[in-house]
Amino acid sequence: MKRNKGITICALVLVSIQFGCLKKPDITPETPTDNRPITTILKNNYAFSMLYTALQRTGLDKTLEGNGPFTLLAPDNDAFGRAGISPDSLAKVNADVLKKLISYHIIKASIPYSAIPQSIDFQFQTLAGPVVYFSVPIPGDQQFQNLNAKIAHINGVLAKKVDIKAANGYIIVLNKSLYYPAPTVKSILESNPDYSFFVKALKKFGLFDQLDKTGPFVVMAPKNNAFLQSGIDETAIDALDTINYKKILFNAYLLPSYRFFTTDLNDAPLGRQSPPGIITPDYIQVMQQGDDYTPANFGLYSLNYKFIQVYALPPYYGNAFIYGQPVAISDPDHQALNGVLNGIDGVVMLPDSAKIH
Amino acid sequence: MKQHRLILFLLLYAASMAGCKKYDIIPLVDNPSYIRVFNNLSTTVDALHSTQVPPFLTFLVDPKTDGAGMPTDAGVVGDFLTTRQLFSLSYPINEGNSSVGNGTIGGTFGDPDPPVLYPLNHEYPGNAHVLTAPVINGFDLSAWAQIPSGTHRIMFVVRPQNSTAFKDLPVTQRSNILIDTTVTFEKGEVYTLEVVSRDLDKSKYGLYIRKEQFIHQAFEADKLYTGFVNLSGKTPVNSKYGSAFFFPDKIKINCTYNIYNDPASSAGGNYFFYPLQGYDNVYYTTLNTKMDTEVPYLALPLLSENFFFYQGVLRKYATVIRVPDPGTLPYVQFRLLDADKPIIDPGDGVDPSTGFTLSCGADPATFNTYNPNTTVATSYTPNLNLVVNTGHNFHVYSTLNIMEIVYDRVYLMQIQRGFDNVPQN
Repeated sequence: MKRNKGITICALVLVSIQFGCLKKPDITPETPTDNRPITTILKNNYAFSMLYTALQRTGLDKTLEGNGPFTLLAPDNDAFGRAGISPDSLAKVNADVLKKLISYHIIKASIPYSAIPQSIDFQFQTLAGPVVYFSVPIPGDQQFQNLNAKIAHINGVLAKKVDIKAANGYIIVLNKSLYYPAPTVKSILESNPDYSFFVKALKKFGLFDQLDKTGPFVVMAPKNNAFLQSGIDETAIDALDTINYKKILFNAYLLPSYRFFTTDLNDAPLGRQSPPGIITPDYIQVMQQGDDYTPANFGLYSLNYKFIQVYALPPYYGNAFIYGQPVAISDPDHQALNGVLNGIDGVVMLPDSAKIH
Repeated sequence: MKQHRLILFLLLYAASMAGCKKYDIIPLVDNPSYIRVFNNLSTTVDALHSTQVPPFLTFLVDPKTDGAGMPTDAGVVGDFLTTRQLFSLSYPINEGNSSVGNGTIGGTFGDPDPPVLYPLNHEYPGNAHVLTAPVINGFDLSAWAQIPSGTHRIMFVVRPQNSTAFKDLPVTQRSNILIDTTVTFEKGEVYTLEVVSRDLDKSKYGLYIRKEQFIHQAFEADKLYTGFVNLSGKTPVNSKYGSAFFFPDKIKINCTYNIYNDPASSAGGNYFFYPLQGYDNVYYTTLNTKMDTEVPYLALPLLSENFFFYQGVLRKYATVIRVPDPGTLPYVQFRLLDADKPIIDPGDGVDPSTGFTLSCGADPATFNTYNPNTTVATSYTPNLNLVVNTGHNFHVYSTLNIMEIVYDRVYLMQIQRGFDNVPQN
């Protein structure tokens, strides 16, 4: 009796030890995937009604029902509104122009958030031909954005939602619809009457023609209101000329051989020990990042800005923006094939600072 | 009785079958060479320099590529390779530290920096479990890894700063190949490979390989050796208007060996030093070229042990943060000057001076915790005399020091000499 009991207990213990270390992964529930193609998801969602109408008009909805894989950069109705497009104005747009604009929002690749390279201005080819630029926040000690939130900027526009999986690709919802890139920065300036003063001034100083070269250029363009607010009207611009004023008066607004969007200042911030902007022989073109509530800033420091800031002596008292105050970039990131145009609402260098004595 | 023994035996047998797992012994490498890889890139991409790369790399030897030529995996993978630390020893000093987390302190007050949530390896092999080099010529070289000699394809890929291993990354994140080259390693030789930036403005990068000669040279027991090499690329345009300090192209180096002056300092609060006889701002060397692969080692005396103790207690190392002070241990100070400028501009606190002073007096145990970007740690290196607690006493070991000057800072690689014998100084 006792012996049998003992043996049974030992046998039970042996058996339980053998089974104790069985390692098998637990059954994890499958993540639900959407088997609907991209067009069906848009059709069933009222927030994308304007986009879906546009897709139907241009015939691109048939394309997006295909195998793909596609990634659709989808502006919802609010996003069109932020770009100044209402359902009526969208209906009035020429079908060919609309097709170019909408196919600029389609990439023939499958891009979940994890596949976006950790860099700024990474180019993806669109169906329309020109590229779109993807930027994600880069970790660093000056990075203030939340790295756990899936933040991405496409052509300077924030992606509201990423990783909406469809059967034939992904949808990325944009905060604002993208502008189709203009051929050159020069053409953007010429076609917008708000920049007429700036165009006139650039032509007078001989700086306008370079803007249709290959570039790239970043141009900070003051609107006509900006000039008027500083007391410079059209006659005052006519009075400016290269004999009495140095070229830097308007050269300060051009950043040749750079291409970046204002959101890149948040994604890849300038290092703590690097200069605050672009150093030229006459001044430093300073760019300061903005955030969700304030736009980015542009201004001009003098070359000895460190001395001015440390020894807060007259006449500057620690303010290194000696040519004029920094201005907000209120209308940023208009893309051209040879650069980016940003509309600013102020004048960074007053004519008196550039007078040739 | 017999049954009890049988049951006991069965129980033990079952426990042993269910219990431990044994590690395989890694097979030895035939005809090995020894390599150590550093990432010298200290600046990252920013909005105005969008072609620069974030300095987070993967080191691959003989990578396997897929159809489009993108690397998928490799025989040797040095993943999560981040910028090197200011101070490296000849044995892996981070072996006992976790790879994740940060552990650096920065700013004026030495506040902890936010933790880094992905693994970091400051060098290859670093924390990697690979076979290491043996002792050669009396030097402990366990920070160098074994690799079969011969011709190898070496690739460095820029990888995103997250905790995904290289082979699990999607293709778009494995495609930024920084360096792709072929190197031949000779059997028994020791190589140090460093990823360097050749031009910061145009974002050009390269690989610097140094075949170490100290394993073939004879060194005297009563001397310390220091060699300098300039591994900066082209001076960036930012240096022109005094907005940032970068080392000049030609560097003249002077040296002073400071000994603490106990009587003069005993009034309290002040640190007075006198220079060692014959080492008062004496000329040391001039570096005329960059990226030299031959490093001439120059000798300094190894002081006797009584210089390092005061009334039987070990003297103090220099304090680097909060209130910097030079400490009381004897330390060497190097002045790195522009060889073309006869006059030294001391700087006014706003514009950098035209000379750079490197005080070699810090504590090697804590030196790598100082964030080089936010503290003055770049003006210091650990003491060139290595103080080791062995046999219930402190002993001072001689070292071989290689100072590598990269743009705006000096990296020290210190090799302990005579680790198996207590020094007789």
